[in-house]
Amino acid sequence: MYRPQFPYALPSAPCVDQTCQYSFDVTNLPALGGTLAAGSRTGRIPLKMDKDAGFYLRALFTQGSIALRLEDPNRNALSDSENAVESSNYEIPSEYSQTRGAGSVVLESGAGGLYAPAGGTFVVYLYNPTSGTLSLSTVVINLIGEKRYTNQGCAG
Amino acid sequence: MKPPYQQRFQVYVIGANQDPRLASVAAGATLEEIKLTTDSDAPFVMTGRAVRTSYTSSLNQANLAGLKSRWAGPKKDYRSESLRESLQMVYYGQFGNPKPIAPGVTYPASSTLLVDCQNFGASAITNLTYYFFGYKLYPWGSVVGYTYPKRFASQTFAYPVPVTGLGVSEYRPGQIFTVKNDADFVIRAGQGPTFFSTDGRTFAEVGIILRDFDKKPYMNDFVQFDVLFGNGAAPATIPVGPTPSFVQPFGTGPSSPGLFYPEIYVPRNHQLRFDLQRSDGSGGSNQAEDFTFNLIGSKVFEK
Repeated sequence: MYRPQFPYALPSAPCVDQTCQYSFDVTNLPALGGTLAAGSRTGRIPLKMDKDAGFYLRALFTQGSIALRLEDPNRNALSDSENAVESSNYEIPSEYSQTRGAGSVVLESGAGGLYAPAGGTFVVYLYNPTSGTLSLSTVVINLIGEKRYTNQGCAG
Repeated sequence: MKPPYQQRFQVYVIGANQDPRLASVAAGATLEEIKLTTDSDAPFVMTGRAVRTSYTSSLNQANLAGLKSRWAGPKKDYRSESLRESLQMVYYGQFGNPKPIAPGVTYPASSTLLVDCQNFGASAITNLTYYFFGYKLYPWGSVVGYTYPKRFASQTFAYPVPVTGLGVSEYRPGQIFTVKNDADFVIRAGQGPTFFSTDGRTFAEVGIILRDFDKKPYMNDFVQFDVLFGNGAAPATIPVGPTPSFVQPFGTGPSSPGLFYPEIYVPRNHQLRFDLQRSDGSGGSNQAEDFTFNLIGSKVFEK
């Protein structure tokens, strides 16, 4: 039950890091208000970051059985096998982002995590791998990391 | 600091293929000197341990509650008396969480892994299998060992690996995993498929042998996905205690994935091979199944 992680350097003054968790569900993401038929996919769904500080994504966890594929603000996919069978390029939550009551799923990257500038946008695509229609209102996507505050624009 | 030897991930398996007595360990039976000779190409440092039996139709491993065992170092030096495995290891070391052995125990090349076991439960233990996790030690340069470039950037990444229509008793060798051409990929962890048993249809006994591009294996026999990787939706219940209560695994899954140590570095456009074996048999409504497993790590971009 031990997960080694790489340490990240603290920012130098005057920057300050503050733990931050973005949680996206039907209450703040209108795209999750509908349903998704078996085998269907959504288009790109933007996950908007706050405008007050840059954000380093370091972990995530999700709820629901919808498969997903995330992209960082530079449109780099965080998972993809580029298989000819398009549906196999999505991550099944139980193998990627679902936890069984403990912790979150670490996303290890260099340079402090996956950086989104203030007001930046991660993108998620959803796919229903089950044999029945799923309500997207069951989906919760939590992005966990650090906001980097400064009065002199040091993030990045 | 560069370690004195080149390390390579390795799992040694001792199951019914290595000692036929493990196919069925009768109630009350004691098996002594269950042996496996380690490979002759390198010493092995054991750093973790797990044990498993075939699932029952209700997806539990109840009979493991009656298992006592003890294991020995390379000089037949037993490290304990026979102990109940249920009281030693979280989930018997399964779900990607092998019981740590620290400090690691070094076995010279061609030495013997030795286990004794006793089933003091009321029922036979079917296909009892011991797993020894660790790494081999090679002189530097004697085996291929790709690693990071001098200057690089890394980004978290995961490859979902699709498997289509794996038959109820199918052996599928020589499957290929190819890293994309934009970056190297370092494998640090994995997650396996969700096993299930519903409506007479069971998908629960699937193992993998992972190999490098040269087909040199990282394990001597099939390692079940729920031992090597685990899963975030593990359906199994695990017996705890001498009169077992059955609990679902807690805290397993992608937040504590099955780890590869040392990690496996695969340059871009390079390949790994893997063999799959499913042994659920044709009972009930069993059928060929599609699934994925997930290789988790980082892309490495040379600067």
